[in-house]
Amino acid sequence: MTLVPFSRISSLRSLVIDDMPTMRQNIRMHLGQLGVTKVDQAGTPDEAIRFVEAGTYDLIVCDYNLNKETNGQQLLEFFRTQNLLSPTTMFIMVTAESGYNLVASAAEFQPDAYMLKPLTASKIAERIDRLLEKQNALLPIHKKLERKDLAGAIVECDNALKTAPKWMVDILKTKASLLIDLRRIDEARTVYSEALGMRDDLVWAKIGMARCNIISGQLDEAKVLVQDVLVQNAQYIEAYDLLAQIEEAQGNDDEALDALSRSSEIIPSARRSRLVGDAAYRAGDLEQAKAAFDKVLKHTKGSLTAQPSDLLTLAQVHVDTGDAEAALTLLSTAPKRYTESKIFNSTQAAVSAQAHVKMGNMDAAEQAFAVARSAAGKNPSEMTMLALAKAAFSVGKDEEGAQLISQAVKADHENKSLLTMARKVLADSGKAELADDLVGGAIKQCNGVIAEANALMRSAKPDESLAKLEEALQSLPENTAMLMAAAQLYLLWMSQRGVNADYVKRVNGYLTSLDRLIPGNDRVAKMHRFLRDTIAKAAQKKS
Amino acid sequence: MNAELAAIIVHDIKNALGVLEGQLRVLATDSIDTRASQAHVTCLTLQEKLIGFLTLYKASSQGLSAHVEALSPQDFLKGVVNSLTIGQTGLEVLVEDESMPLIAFFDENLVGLALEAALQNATRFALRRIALSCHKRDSGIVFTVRDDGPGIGVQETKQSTGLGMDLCQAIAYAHTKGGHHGQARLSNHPDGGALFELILP
Repeated sequence: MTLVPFSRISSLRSLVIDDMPTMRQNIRMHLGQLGVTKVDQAGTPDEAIRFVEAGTYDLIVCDYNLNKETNGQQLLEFFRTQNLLSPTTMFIMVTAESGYNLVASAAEFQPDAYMLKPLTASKIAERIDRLLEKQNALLPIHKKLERKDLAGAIVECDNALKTAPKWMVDILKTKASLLIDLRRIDEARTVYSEALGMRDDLVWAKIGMARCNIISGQLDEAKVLVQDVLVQNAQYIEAYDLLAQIEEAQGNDDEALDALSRSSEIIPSARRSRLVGDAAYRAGDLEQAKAAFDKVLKHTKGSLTAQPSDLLTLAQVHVDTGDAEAALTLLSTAPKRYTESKIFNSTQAAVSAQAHVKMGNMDAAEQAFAVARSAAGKNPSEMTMLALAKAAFSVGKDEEGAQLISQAVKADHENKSLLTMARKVLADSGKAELADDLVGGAIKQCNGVIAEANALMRSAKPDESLAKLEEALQSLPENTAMLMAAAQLYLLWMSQRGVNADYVKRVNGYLTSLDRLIPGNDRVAKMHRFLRDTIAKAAQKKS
Repeated sequence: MNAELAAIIVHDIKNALGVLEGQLRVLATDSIDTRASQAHVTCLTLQEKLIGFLTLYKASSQGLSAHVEALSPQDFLKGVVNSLTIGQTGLEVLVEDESMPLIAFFDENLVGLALEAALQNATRFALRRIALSCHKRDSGIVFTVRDDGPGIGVQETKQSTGLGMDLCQAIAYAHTKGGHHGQARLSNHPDGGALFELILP
């Protein structure tokens, strides 16, 4: 039995994650047989996270059973949601035959491959070789995606369908989701139909169809499709998310919450519980929010997967339910590393201030509020501003509270969940009557700036128009609507007056911020394309 | 014995077997003594048997469901042949590419187990060669393993199928589509030899 020469394999930087030292050694030995010499080993999820944060890996072989708190699937979820893995990292999940079905069918974040224990060197080699071949075949698509060239990536999908048809299902899946991102809904529908023509029970294609329906406003049709998927496959997590989205859009908050709860019963992960907790809190269901965040904290306790916002939200929920003591106790358990963050320190003090008020301890409350304000710095996060506003109202500084609400809304005035939360803070503080003035007023002011900039541009005063938005963005660097307006105006300027290197840099900066703040937005994708076209045209003219 | 304890023991044995396999592979690569390779193959076969048995146990106790993906059957079958444990029997094992679909939908881990079991069985009767293939049938696919031995029926008293066939049945059944389940069949090929078919919807 000879192994095929896997020269490409031998150069892979790899990480083996398994709680049992003998199994780690064993996999390392298998990899050694394939010529792989760079093999790091992690025995716990935290160790694995440290390795992945510090280095880049081409191959990760991870056992499903890690420890009581975190399994391989949850670790993969953490890596993917925190963007810790490069798109070319191959992640292989190793499971025993006993857990395999359960693991694979309910996985929200799919690894590149599942392999059954026990692994052998030749089986690993065979699987990696196939993954590398696929990666190579799809490389042109990923190169375009790296440059945010969605339309170009779709063209590459069509090419790949001809040159590498054996990966057609993966290619069609990618192509359809890109078409959706660009809002080319009819074309996306055609691709999904094509996939369903190959096999009529492809769940991802049905879900894709439902997504098309949602975007084109056919919510009832979408709901039927999603429910149909859930009847056949109650484990398909994405369907619950979509159902929740539909219910929320139809104004059925309870049903939306119910869909999310059901999904978190299937995958009791921190992320799932967090989704439930956030939705419950938005809908004003404090008991459920508390239960959900309790679960999140229990899940991530003492681990690097723990997030400061979870602890802060749960503390806020405790304050809201009137259990101020529980809030303060909880805040005192915060891990040391959290206190390196300005956002955490400020928000923590703001929540403490509210708790002290509830306990009748006004001096401590005033003190905590002062700490919160000074820790907040110049551009506090939205979460911090809202917590600060709530604290301000509770210590009787109504004017400051109102100002903070207005500031929070202006930070990103088209962000719907931010607006909901701002209104909720006012309602919880007994200031519901101020909502229209404060929230509505802030929105109006922001839109006013954008309208003025547009008007200046129309009346041929481009420099003043741009200066107007630049000035607003100085204090509101994460306002997505303004970032979009600014990018658009600079692009317009360049299309009329020619490419300007400084402006290209600025537009790129805005678009990068937008990609981070609202990933997958179709207007942002269009502007990326427009910028590329403008630069290409200018280069052509020169030559 | 309590079921939980049994599970832990089996798990330990499986892991230990995995370690042993790795050690024997190193030994087989480094040594010119052919007995090292033989020991390695014996260990691999034992491993396959244990996994087959455990999968079957899981199918009968909790049920088995397939994680179906779109795959190239050609790549898959070549992979099965490459990691074959019967290489030293002197038999020729080949993949027949004719009328093979470009892609097919199946669970590669489960079908891999089934084909390994079918191949183990075929090696016991084949004279010179075993052929693997995959083709479309109705709206599904069929994987076949054909040997050039005397065919079935001749030596039925030797219990030629046993656990392997039950495992294949369970794996075929785990593949469903629109209420239809897959099935495994063993028959005589009209041109001689035994024909194993794994029919998947």
